Amino acid sequence: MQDIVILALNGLAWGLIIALIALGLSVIFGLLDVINVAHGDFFMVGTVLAWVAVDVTGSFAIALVLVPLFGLLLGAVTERIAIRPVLSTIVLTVVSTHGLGLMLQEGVRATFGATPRRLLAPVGGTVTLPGGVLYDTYRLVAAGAAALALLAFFAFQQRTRFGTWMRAVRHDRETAMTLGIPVQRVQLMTFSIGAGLALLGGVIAAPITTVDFRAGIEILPTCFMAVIIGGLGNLPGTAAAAVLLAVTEGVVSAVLDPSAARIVSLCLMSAVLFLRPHGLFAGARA
Amino acid sequence: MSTPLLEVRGISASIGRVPVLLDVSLAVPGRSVVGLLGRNGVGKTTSLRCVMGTIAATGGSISFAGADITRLDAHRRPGLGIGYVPQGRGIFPLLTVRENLRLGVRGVPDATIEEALLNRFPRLRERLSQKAGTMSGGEQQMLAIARALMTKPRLLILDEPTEGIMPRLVSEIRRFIAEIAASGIAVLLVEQNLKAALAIADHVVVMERGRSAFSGPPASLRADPDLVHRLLGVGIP
Repeated sequence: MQDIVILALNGLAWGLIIALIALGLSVIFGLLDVINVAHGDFFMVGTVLAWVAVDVTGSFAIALVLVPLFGLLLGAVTERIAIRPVLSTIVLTVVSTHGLGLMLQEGVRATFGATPRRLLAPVGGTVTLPGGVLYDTYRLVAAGAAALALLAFFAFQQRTRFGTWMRAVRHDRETAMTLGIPVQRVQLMTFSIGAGLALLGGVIAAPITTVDFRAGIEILPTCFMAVIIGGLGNLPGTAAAAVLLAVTEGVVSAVLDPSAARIVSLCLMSAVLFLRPHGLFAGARA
Repeated sequence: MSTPLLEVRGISASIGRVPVLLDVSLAVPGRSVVGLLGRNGVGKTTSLRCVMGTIAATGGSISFAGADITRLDAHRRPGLGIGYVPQGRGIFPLLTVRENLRLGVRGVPDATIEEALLNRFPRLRERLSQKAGTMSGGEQQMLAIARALMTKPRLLILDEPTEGIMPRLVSEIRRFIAEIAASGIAVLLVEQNLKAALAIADHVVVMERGRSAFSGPPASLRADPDLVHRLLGVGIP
């Protein structure tokens, strides 16, 4: 029973991190109609830069601040160079971001190396949860940090002028333009924020995952599943679906095995596509 | 006619590879109402989108208050004093009424918004915190007009503002437009209802197959039933 509780908690912590990354994917898709195939690699760059930042400065806090800021910059440059020139032909954005993803992977392999590494958690030890379950402290901290970042993003989207612009452009970019909203700037900053979220997810996840140039390839399908189950462009739905997926996989892994858990996730996604093609949480759009 | 506030000279435009506008000219003097008429598909909405900059004019020129805006970015045009109510209202259904109203204005306190709405749109004032998509079509149209007025435009462009609206609200919306015009804001109005357009407009432009085919006062159009029938497919109301 304790194993199931621990795996469910692992699923929750990992789900919140996935939610952060998938949210970036969803916000980019919702506003620009771009399927950012390089999004998993943005996450990977986040884990690698976290490792490098801790290696150089010895401080995880510095990594937590600087790496997402670098993510914003990476996103802005990507939007200008790899997205905007081909935005009128959506299929080309898939090609373009796929190429970018390969460049990021090979760039990391050439500089950081192909050997997977581990980053020590900045907070060690365990805590005793109700029921006597011993649980890794950092995973709880990671879950809290991811949840806080998700809430901050939703507050930003609901409470700020720029957030309102993002919601307006997502619905109707032409009308937004006729109201004086600088749509191209909103698109650039949205892509930038999406990338920043992925790199932030990378920093938070780095101590509980493997720092490896292939990490993005592994995480991308889960993010896409979360976006599809939550509903394309539905941000709260995406976040909820990511947590649902990760908790389900965590529990099924405990009862059966990890392969069965992935099969269950795929079945869930297929069922949603058949029964609720607009997503499990259609109608809860922010 | 006095010096035009908006002047469109011989513009052409395409949507994709399809030429939609071939040669459209019109002028809207300050403090006047110009009706843009024509059958469905002749390019009325495309002409307005060119004026707003969401479709690029491939030829001709557009000037506003004496400045050439043909190549000006679309999002910079409202700041010059051009308000736009698009066809189909163009409200953002998932945003609240207040958020919709604030989209086009910067640094305006909520109290100012409510003050501005108090007299002219009392129904909206009651619904500021409501999602815009939950309102009726007529209320959404009033919201679209109120939102355009929030920017204090010198020219208000309305694309079929009574389309799909309940009959009892149509007259109310037309009354709003007449009040707006009376307050000194120039109006460029696309309207399917010929009688309503002729009643409110100081000047009418009729389009045919991507070109402006007639330009003159409503009385001149009324005086030529054959022309009306040829260009609009209807009799004089």
